[in-house]
Parts: sequence; structure tokens; C-alpha cells
Amino acid sequence: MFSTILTGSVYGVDSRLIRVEVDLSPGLPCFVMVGSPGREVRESGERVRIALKNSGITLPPMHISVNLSPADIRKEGTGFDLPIAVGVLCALERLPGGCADGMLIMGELGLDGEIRKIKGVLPGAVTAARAGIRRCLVPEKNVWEAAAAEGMQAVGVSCLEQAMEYLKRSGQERDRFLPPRTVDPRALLSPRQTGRGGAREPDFDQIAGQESVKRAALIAAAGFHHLLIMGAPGTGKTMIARRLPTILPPLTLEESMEVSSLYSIAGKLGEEECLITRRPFLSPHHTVSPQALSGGGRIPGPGLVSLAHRGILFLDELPQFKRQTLDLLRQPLEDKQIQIARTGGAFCYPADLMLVGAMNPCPCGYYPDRNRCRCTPFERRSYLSHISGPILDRIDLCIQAQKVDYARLREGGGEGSGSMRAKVEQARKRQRERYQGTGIRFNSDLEAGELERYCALGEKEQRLLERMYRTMDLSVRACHRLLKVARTIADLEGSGEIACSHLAEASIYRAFERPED
Amino acid sequence: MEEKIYRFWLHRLPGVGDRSIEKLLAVFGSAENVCRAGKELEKVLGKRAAEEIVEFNTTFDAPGAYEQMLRQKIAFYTPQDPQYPARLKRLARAPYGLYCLGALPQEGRPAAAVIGARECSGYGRFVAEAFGGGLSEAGVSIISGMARGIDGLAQQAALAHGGGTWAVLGCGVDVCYPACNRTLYQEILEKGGGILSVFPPGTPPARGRFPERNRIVAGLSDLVLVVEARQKSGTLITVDMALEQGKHVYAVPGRLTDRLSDGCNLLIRQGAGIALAPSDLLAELRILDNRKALGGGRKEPAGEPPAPPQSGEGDSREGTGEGEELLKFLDCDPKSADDILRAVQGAGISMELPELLAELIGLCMEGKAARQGGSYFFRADGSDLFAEQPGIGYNEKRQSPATE
Repeated sequence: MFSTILTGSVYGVDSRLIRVEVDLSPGLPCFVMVGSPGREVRESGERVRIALKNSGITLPPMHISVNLSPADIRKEGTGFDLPIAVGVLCALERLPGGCADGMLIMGELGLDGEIRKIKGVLPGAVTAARAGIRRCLVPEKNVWEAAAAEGMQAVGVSCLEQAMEYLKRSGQERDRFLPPRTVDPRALLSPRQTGRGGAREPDFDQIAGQESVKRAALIAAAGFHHLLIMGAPGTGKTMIARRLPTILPPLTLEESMEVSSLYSIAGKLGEEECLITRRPFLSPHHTVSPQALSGGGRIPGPGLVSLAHRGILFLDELPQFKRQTLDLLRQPLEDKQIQIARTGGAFCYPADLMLVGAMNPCPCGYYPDRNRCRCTPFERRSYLSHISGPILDRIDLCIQAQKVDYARLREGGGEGSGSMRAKVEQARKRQRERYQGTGIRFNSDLEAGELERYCALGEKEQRLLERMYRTMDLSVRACHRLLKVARTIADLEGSGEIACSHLAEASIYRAFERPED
Repeated sequence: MEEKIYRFWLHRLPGVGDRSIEKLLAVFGSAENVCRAGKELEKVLGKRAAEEIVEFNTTFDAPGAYEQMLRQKIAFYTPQDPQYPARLKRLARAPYGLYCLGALPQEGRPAAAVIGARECSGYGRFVAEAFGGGLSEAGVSIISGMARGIDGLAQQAALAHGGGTWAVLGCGVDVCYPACNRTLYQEILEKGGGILSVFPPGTPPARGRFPERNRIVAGLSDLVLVVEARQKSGTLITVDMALEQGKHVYAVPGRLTDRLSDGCNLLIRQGAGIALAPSDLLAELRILDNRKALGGGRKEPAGEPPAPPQSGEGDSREGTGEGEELLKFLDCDPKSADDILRAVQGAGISMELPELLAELIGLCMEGKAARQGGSYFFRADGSDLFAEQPGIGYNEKRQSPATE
């Protein structure tokens, strides 16, 4: 009258294996759940009882105890329904003992016995696979993400009766009844799979003119620098930002797993989707609340900064965002992760994102066109001051987009995403080689102390930088930013040393200057 | 107590403007008598105003305030003082009180007001500098409002060319408004110019005070030059005042498509003088003949950035020689790097964006170009943008030493 089932529960970005122990013993008929169950988990007893009843199984009037082990960690989520139900059935001996051994079971039950989609299946399956578990029983709608875990055979079930039927069978018969599904994640990430077919995808060759903005986008992509595009309304700021993902290198398997886990935990993975294979591109509206951006809730879940992990967070109309919301980005931009502490616990979500901002240069949007813009320096300053210094300090590249004249528009686009991406990948390769074994991934990750080593300058360049420092009134921090960007430009050109032309070009990308009264 | 302090007291009275002062003086004869008049004031000003003055007298310590003002090196003049500017005395309503920090404008020297928009264009900037500098070099005092844009630029240029300039403020002379012209304010005082105002020290700037300021700007000048103004512009108030005072108004023509030149072009249509070169104004000021005496040789402007060291010149810039070529593609108004690239490529020079940017930055560091908003570039020095023919623009002046 005792059974044990394995299931998983999500903690932050990781998942832990949880043992569901069910015991039936004579005594006052009741359903007791112990082992720090959270609110949803506590409700699980009621769902299990009714789902079993509606699947034709009436619970005997016995004392049913469920323990969730390890008992000292709090359990959250609705994925415990199915393992508890299976545990009860095993303890009732309606299912053969040991039928669920070596198997991970997760799923939510409806009162009619339907098995519903849950969050966090992918991290659960990954953890189980690492622990040597090779098979899992999950809701049909989550089966593909479970299959994406390496070495995991995923079986999808859509109702309790089907799950019982499956578990009653043995070995070979099981597979014939519900064939397990496996996926090779590497194949998923091969260019052919992620390749764009059908409708025309966004591509940089659709952009006419804007050479300098495209160039800035290329540099940003190559060194994973944050980028700010300023320009009048309708100059293509958003268009360019939307095309940035097309020149970033494709996700690696490791990156894809990280991103997909976050999406799984947030419940944002599509039914047919095994893994997220494209770099995320998120563009929240400026009314986004701080909590939505950072992640939160009583029991914290990943926010937009984490969903943009390894991808792009595009903030259009940057000054329209509340200052409080923007300032929240300080930690993610600095540490590449975000720590959230709520009553339900403190969690740390990864947030290694590329911030792309777009904004008008002044309240009316037409500065420096003096025929249209009548904004005073004071107005411009107060408009720009919506963005706090610490955020700006972390944006390495800043470029002004200008209106493209009609003649240029008719000439059509210039360089396409394909060749730009090839350049980015070359630059990335150089960075990988240079930073091997240091933990640094991109030029934008360089700290002040490391600049000396990786951005060493020749005598001539040193002199130029010194002159720039004096004539352009650079701050020390701006100087460091300039060096990092120059390093990326040098990488793009395939040059080992930073040359004067690289430094000169890097200094262009400082469009954000506070108007001098 | 001296009469001067009584006059100071009179000017500070609340609710008593220049007109009331005129009436009071007509009745009582002198400021001292006004002060001693007591109840008698009611006859001229009415009961309420007189009561207010009594109230004011209990709190205002005129000798103390005057003393304090002198410590700040601010002088106070009324039309009764011999130093009071003759040009203002000639006005229909000469301001009763004039506060002055620094010197008063020299009486014998011709004076021109150079005025224009606060948010000026690059074109306006060059023209203001050319005229401010050119006139000042010829010995003309430049009078303006020290505002952002044209006013300040013209005055700055006047100082750079070694001439005197006087700023009339719409606030107290000890208040530097706008704050961005702090260095100009200091420099005017250091170089023998002066800051003038009809408002007592400590008065904050306010919208309503600027028309009066503009009246004084026009009043202190022999003619008014408008460099850049929109169709509806505060500058045109000064123009109206000048016309009322019977002074000649000159305007610098601009393109019909530039909103910032609309005001000037309309003035020309209404009969304003057309200013193509500083000499046009000098003729009006009837000093062209004396130019030789005033020193025709062009002095190097003091504000020009120092030439880069010869040794570092060649190797600090990547592509040498191209930079000068590129200067041709720059204009007085900011042009984006993309536009410059297209123009350069259109002219048959093969150059890619990174190369071009490097060259442009080189020019910026040499002080030949400047940039705005990161990737917009314009000429730092526009003097060679003016036409080559004598008689037009600033070049007319530059060529004169050679022809003489």
C-alpha cells in the first residue's frame, strides 16, 4: 500500500527531482499532503480525487498520505497532479507496482481527467536526464520540449485513462501503444532547420541608405555591444532594430537550452516547439511595468529581461519609459543576470541581453533640422534626461539615423544580412580565440583592468587617443567604451592590432551628448 | 544723503515707473524733494501708491542698498548724470535708471546692434561671427542682448577680434542670463566692455522685461543688423523699436526655404538695408573712409584653436592629404556622415564609410570641422565659404589689405 513516483519542480532556472510518496492506510478517510506543498500543490489533492472519480476510480475510504520529498523545500506549480494520481493508483494496486520506476512523471489534471499543459517541463526533463532517467510521462502538449532533453524518451498523454492504460502495459507493448518521442537538438539547430523559407524574412538589404546606422548595427552585433539609435520619426530606427537578429550568429545548443528553459518556465514555449532556435527579440511597449520587465510575482518568474536572454531587448521610444523601469536594467546590464527577491523566495535569472534603444533626438523629433525643430537646448536636455546616466554609461554605441531622401530610397538596399552575418561571425571567432579560457565572451564584456591587456595600443594610436581625450572632452569611462568599440571594429576588419582608423571610427558612435545649454 | 542716492531710491520705488518719475520730478524738482514730500505725494500718485511708498520706506534702506551695489562694482546712472549715454538721452522716453557693470559704451564710437534668433542655424552662426568680427575690427561697438544664438555669437566674435561689446540684459546686471553665456559675461567685463540693464541688481529675467531690454539695445546703437529671425520673432520687436527711434535696420538675406531667414527676407521686402558684408554697414556708419586709420590689417582671432604640433601632424592621421579635400564637402550646417559619403562617392572619390569617418574625425581634431550628435559634421570655420568677389561677405574684408 505504498508507492514512490519521481517528478520535477522548478526552482529559479533549475529544476530538482522530487519524490512523491503515497501511502494508503486504514483510518479516518482523508487526503493529507505533507512536505512543504505550496498553495497550488495543496489544491492538487482535490483535483486528483475528482479526476480519479471521473476516470472511473473511486477512492476507498482510507487515510491517504502524500509526502513530497525532500520535505524541506517548498513545492510550487501544478505539475504534481499526475504523479500524485499515479502514486495513488499504484498504492491502490490499480496499477502494477514498479510500473513507473525510472520514469519522470509531470502533469496537471483537470476534473474530467484531462492532462493539461504545465510550465517548466524542459528544465525538469533535463535534470532527470542528467540523473540518468531515460523516460518521462508528460502532458501531450509538452511532449516535444521534454523530448528535447538529451537522451530523453518522452511519452505524451492527454488523459488519465490513457496514462493508466500506458502504465499497465509492459516493455514492448508500451512503445507500441504510445511510441516515445525523441529529438536530436543539434539537428534542430542546423541552419537548414532554422533557415527561413516561405514568406520574405526581414533582411538588411531591404534598408535603403542609413549606411552609418547599418555599420553601427554590424559593430553592435559583432561585439554584443548595447546600441542606441537616435533619429527623427520615420527614419527606420525600428526597421533596423528588427533586422538585428538576422545578423547575430545562430544560437548554439547550450544557448538554446538556456533560453528554452526560461521560456518553458515562463510557459511561453509553443506546443509544437521543442526548443527556441532563434535569438529572442523582444520589444515591450513603453508602458511596461517594472515587474513585467524584471520578473516577479509572489513566486518569481522570469521577466522580459530574462526572456531576452542571449537575444535582443528592443526599447522603442526610450525616453517614454518610466525612469524607474529603465533603471531596473542596471543590474542585468552590469551582471548579465537579475536577482529577484519576493516573499516566495529569491531567485536569480540569467539576463545576458543586448539592449537596443531607439529614440527621437528632441521632443519634436526633428533636431538638428532647424527648419522644423524649434526645441530649445533646455527642452532637449530635459527630454534626454529621462534616461539616467548609469544606463547610458552601459551603452557603448550610439548613432543618429537621418531621413533618407527619395532618390536614395529608389536605389534600393545595400548590403544584405547574409554577408553582414558572415562578418559578424568572423569577428566573433576572433573574440573566441582571443578570450579562450578567460570567461570573457565578447569585447563588450571587457572590464577596465582587462582593457590594457586586450586593447593594447601602439605608440601612434596611444598619441591619437590622448588627443581625442583632450579635444573631445572624453570621460575615462567614455574612453574605455571607445577602446572596446575600437577593438570590435578591428576584429571586424580582421586586424589584430587596433589602428588609428579604428579609434577614429569608434569615436563617431557617441551621438548622445547632452546639449551644452 | 547725496542726491544720487535719492535718485536711486526714486528708481527703486515700487509701482513707480519712468512715467511717474517724470511727473514727480516735474512737480517736486529733485529726487530729494520727492523723498521729503511725504503726504504731498498723494496729489501726484494717488492715495494708494503714496501709502505703498510710505510702507516701502520703512523697510528699504536706500544708502545701505546703494553702498552694497557699489561694492558689487555696479554703477547707477540717471539722465541727470553727465556720463549717462547720449544716445539714450535722445530717446522719446529715456530710461530714468541705468545700471552698469563694467564700462559704459564709448560715446564717440559708432555702435551697431547685431541681433537674431536664439536657436540659430549654422549659417546664422557663421554670418553672426563674420559681421560681429568684421564690424568690431573696424572699430564699431557691438551692442546686443547676450542671448543664446546670434546675440552671443556676434558678441563673442567681437571680443575675439579685439573690439568692445556691450550686453543689455532683461534682468539685473549681476544675474547672468542665460547661464550658458557665463564665460562671455566674464569676458565682456575683462575686455573693457560692459553689462547694462534698466532693472535693479538681483532682478530675475522675465518675459515682460525683454521688450524694454530690446528698446535699450536699439537705443544704444546707431543701426541694427538682423542676422537670422523667424517670421514671428522677438528680434522683430527690437527692429520695431529701432524704426520708432528712427534708426536704420539692415538684414542679412537668406534662402527662401529657410524658416530662420523668413524674418530677414521680409524685412528686406519692407525696405530694410541689405547686408552682404560688414562694409555695407560701415558705409552707413560713415566711417569707411577712416578705415585705414582704424587698422585694416586682419588680426588673428584670439579664439582660434592652436595649430597642432608639426611633429604629430603627419602620423596621427591615417590617410593624409584627403582631409583637406573632404573639407569641400562640408557646409556650415551639419551634414550627416551618410550624406557626405554619398557626395564624396558621387564626386568620384572611392572611399568607404569607416575611412571617411576616420578622416572626418581627423579634421575635427585639427579644429577645421566640428560635429554634432556624433555623426553630423560641419565646418568649424566658415570664412572661406563666403564668395570670392570683393564686396560680398566677409572675404571682402580679408582681401582689402592686399589691394591697398
